[in-house]
Amino acid sequence: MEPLLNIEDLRVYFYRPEGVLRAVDGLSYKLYRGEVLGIVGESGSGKSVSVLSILKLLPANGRIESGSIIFDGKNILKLSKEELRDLRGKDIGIVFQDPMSSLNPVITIGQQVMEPLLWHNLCSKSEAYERAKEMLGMVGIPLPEERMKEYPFQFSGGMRQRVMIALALICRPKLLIADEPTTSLDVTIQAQIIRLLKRMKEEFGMSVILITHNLALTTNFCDRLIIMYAGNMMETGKTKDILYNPAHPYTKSLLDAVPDIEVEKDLIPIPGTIPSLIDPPNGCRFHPRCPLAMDICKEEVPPLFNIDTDHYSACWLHRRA
Amino acid sequence: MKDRENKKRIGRSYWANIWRKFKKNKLAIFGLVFVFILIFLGILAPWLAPYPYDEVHYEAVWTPPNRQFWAGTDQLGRDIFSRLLYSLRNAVFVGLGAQAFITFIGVTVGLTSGFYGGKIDNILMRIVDIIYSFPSYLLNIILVLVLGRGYLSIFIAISATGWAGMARLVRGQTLSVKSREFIEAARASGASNSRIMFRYILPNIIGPIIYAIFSGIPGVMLLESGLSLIGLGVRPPMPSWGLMISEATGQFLYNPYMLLAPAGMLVLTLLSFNFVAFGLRDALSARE
Repeated sequence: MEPLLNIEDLRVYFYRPEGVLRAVDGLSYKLYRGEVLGIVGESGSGKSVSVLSILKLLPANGRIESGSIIFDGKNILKLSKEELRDLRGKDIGIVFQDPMSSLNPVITIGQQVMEPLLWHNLCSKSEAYERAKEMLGMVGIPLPEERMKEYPFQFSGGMRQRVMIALALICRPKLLIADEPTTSLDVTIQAQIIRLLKRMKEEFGMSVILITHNLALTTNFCDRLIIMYAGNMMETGKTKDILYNPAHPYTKSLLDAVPDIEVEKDLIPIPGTIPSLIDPPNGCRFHPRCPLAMDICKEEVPPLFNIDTDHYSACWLHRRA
Repeated sequence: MKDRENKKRIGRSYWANIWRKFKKNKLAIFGLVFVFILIFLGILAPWLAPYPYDEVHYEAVWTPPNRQFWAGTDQLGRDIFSRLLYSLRNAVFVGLGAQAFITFIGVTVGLTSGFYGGKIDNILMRIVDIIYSFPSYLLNIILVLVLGRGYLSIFIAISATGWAGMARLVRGQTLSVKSREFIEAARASGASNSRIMFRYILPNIIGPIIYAIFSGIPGVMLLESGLSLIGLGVRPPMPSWGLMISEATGQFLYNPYMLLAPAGMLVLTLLSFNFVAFGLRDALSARE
């Protein structure tokens, strides 16, 4: 089956006065239609940058150095500005991290939700109004017709994130990118938002990429996971395999650092900090923090070793002697 | 109870909030009422003035204020009250007109410069720097001399030097709004550059722009009076406060009303515009 999104050997570099920052360094993955992919990693591991490049929304000093991004049969890196704009919001919707600042404070909620439909000339104004009302109702905003006349400051954080989801879904995109959609919300609201995303996914059948640093959020939602570290993919596989049968030492230490409400255990933090991406360590980027580091880890970058069906891990431990 | 609360919340938009805060400032409201009266008087001057501005009454030269001539007459026996009204008309005309020119140029340049950045920003801002560093009153005088006297050349002369400040302000505001997250969110849902500029950036910086417009009008009026004072304003016999003040200076000790009337009007007008501007600044800066 043809994947909806096929990213190959993506390299995104940022040009800073201090040097070249390799935010994403050789990332490849596929996303199939109707699939939910979770990208997990610490801050600065390149997870957000890798998806922002899909929309080409990088800051001015960021450049896609090499690689290809094929979305729905089109090479995104070769699209013109107009073609790209047509894709944004229509075929790919995105929900950002901070709902408090992602809405225009001087335009009513209703207008903002309607706008993508009108920009892409998908329907008339009155139809857009009806669709926006319906969509706001679907994402769980009570009295959508009245609330459409209100301004963002009259909405709470959780409600604004619901609005953002409605905005991202209003054009029925083929791909929804959720870039840490719950980071700035309360824990109870986080669960609500993930449940809402799941329901919307079932309703519309689009593919979803969920970016998070919270492994717990991925369990019930994601079909497949990618674990990223310092711009590289460390491990990928079905969510169940990764959570119950992690192969990579980094994934294992991540899981050791997650609290479990049922089992009393000591949380084991990962020693050290994420390496500088301007001057990354040689070999495996995790080796300075890895408890199992060997000599080869310091010299050579590990390839992805096949662990199981669809389960790969980039660690020299899996090399069969 | 909850329904009532809901109803009250709805419709309390950005502008409703500003108006609510503006209303609390008595001086600003007073100024606003006065500004409206002034604009009204200015527009209706030809119908309200008791005499034509250039009608000469030789039998009543230098008459102090009385029942026939409410503000007295000048050295040619022209009714000062009528001339004040016509001057007001000119001042309002020049103030609003030139300020409209300034706003148009300043907002266009500032928005373009701040939004696109890079080379465009550099070139436009160097032009602004040049205009800023040039003695503007001198440039005004030269422009009026070159273009000839008249409304249009006064507009052009004043706005040619006045837009630089507006452009700088708008550029700065644009830069601060441009980096906010909802701009990126708009881009992500497919907004074009012009949509982002006019629907997302401009409405978010309209507050400071309105303040700048109102606080700029008195300056423009003062410039026009200044040009008239040295004989480069509107063409006589069309009156202007500046011209009237200059005609009255020699008479000040004998006929002080000739100087006090136009000077008083000038001060009152400038003050009322400034009060409105201050009220707007306070109302607009208190953000949600």
